[in-house]
Amino acid sequence: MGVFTTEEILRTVEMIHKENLDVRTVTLGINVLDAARADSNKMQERVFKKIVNKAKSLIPVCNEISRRYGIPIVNKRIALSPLSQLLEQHNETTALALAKTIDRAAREINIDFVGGFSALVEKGWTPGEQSLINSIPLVLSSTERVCASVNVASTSAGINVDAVRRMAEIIIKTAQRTAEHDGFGAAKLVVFANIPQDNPFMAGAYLGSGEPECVVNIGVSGPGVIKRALEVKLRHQKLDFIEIAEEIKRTAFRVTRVGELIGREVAEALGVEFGIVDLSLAPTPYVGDSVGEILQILGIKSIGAPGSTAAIALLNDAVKKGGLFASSSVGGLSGAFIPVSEDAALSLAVGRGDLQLEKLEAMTSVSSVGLDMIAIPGDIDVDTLAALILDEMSIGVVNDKTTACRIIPVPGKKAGDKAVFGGLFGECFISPVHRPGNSGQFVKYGGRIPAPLRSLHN
Amino acid sequence: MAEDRPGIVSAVSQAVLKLDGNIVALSQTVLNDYFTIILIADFPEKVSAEQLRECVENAGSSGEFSVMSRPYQPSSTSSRFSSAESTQYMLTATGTDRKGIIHQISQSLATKGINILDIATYLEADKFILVAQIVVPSDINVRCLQDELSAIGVSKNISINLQHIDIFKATNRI
Repeated sequence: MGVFTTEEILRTVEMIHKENLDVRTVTLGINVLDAARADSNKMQERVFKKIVNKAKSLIPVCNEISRRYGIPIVNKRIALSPLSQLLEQHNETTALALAKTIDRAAREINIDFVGGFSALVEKGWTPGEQSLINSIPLVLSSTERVCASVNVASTSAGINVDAVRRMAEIIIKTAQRTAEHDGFGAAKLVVFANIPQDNPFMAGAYLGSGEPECVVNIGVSGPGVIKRALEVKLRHQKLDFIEIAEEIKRTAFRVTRVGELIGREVAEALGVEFGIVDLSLAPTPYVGDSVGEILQILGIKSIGAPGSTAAIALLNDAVKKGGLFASSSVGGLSGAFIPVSEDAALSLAVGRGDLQLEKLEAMTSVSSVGLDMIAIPGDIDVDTLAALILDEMSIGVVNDKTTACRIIPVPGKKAGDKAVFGGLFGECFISPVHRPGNSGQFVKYGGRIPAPLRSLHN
Repeated sequence: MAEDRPGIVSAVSQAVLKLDGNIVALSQTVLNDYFTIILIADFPEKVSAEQLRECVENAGSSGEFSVMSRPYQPSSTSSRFSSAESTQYMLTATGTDRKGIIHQISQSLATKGINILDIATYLEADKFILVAQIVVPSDINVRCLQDELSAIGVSKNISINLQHIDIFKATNRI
């Protein structure tokens, strides 16, 4: 068929229609720092106008391009400059008012989530950053579409333990303020080490410094496609690990190419720059679109059993290699996500007791992101949660990679109970936390854990 | 046209050469062991279409080749129908085989002035597969066309998709 074989054509069609290949997110980054004003109302008005003006065509453009190529674009989102930088002359009241204005702007143009209610405090905090952080529980419980992220650590600065402890308090308060929805507010809040400047995925998307005025970043999906490709191959042939990695690379190549094509088209249609394709394999709660199921296809019958970390490492590495060959504009988080509530197989493994917090932590040392969408008992104390975050931040800082915590302490529920967040946020069983109440003395030292040595790697 | 066997292209090209012809373009395909070839060639003015037909026919054994020959004039409308890649789409249809699918799809395209550049259909077990590369003129609304084709799909219980050709380039070419 012209330059294509029928097999190639049908393979592409099948990837989209049977294996859940989609573009998971088209995220438009918008610089709003030019709205900084001492007058709170004028600042909010400028932010509102800029968001609506720059992003009003995002959904119609995405819908048209989605039709043209016959590929679904699941989410259309906005990432703003770190809003703490607009709050230096303001207090928490303005922080909340600004968040509500952004929520209203998002509703006006039908965008479901806006990231950028963010602060970067790995080395210390400014008054604006403190105002933003202090307002988070109220913001996330009284807005619908605003997402918050706070970077508390980096490989070059070390870990701001005071900020970690503060964020533990903020997470618990946020969950408590949204108790009727199983603490869902905390699902819109990410604590980062080495936050990427161009991540298109919520809740951690924001427009970092060094980014253009306006930019389109793409998050591709693909666990379903990779699972299916491996399933078909392994049914017909006996593969070794090199051949398994090759099959994942080939599939990641196709997935990435789709992302870049869509990203460039959307950027051109909007008249803005194209930024990056994020290669992350982002699961959804739907059966067949799960990173956990890939592990099962690879022969890990119970996710969390020995071998799970190696399987994730293999998958993560092969996805990056295939994706990097496909595009020279790769960025963001780019790895395999393991968000428990958003991945039906992982959620089930946690419910069965096969997959524990400690194993998830180990898996995050070789994959993208971190402890993501994990529900824990609502009665967790601040120090234990802070120590849990500290452990995850250490993995990122020492290994010079991004790690994050999106942990939901579910009010009134205990280990083994179920938390339900709904939609793409899914649902999960609550993970027990090992030996709570035994880390207080450690985290209370406060201050900063120094930046790690970057030589003598062993 | 002929039943397929090794040596048909060699025999036909030898016949063309015998009349001092130069082959400009050639396309050949085999469908269920049946061979077809179409070619364009330049000849000295004295060679007639009938001479060429006879010469090629005689290149096979008696009654083996069915041959048609006619003078070729490049079409003035060809550019509209084959046109830029920006308007090329891939139409795929899969489902249970039944009478009239190809006709209904091609009729829908024809009434809108949509040209089929390339089309192939297959049967795998009982599954019908159609793949067609088409040119959608810029004044046609792709969304409406997709909806119309989907409706045909529903009525015939098959799945019909129409996607811009660039998605296939992106996923299949380095």
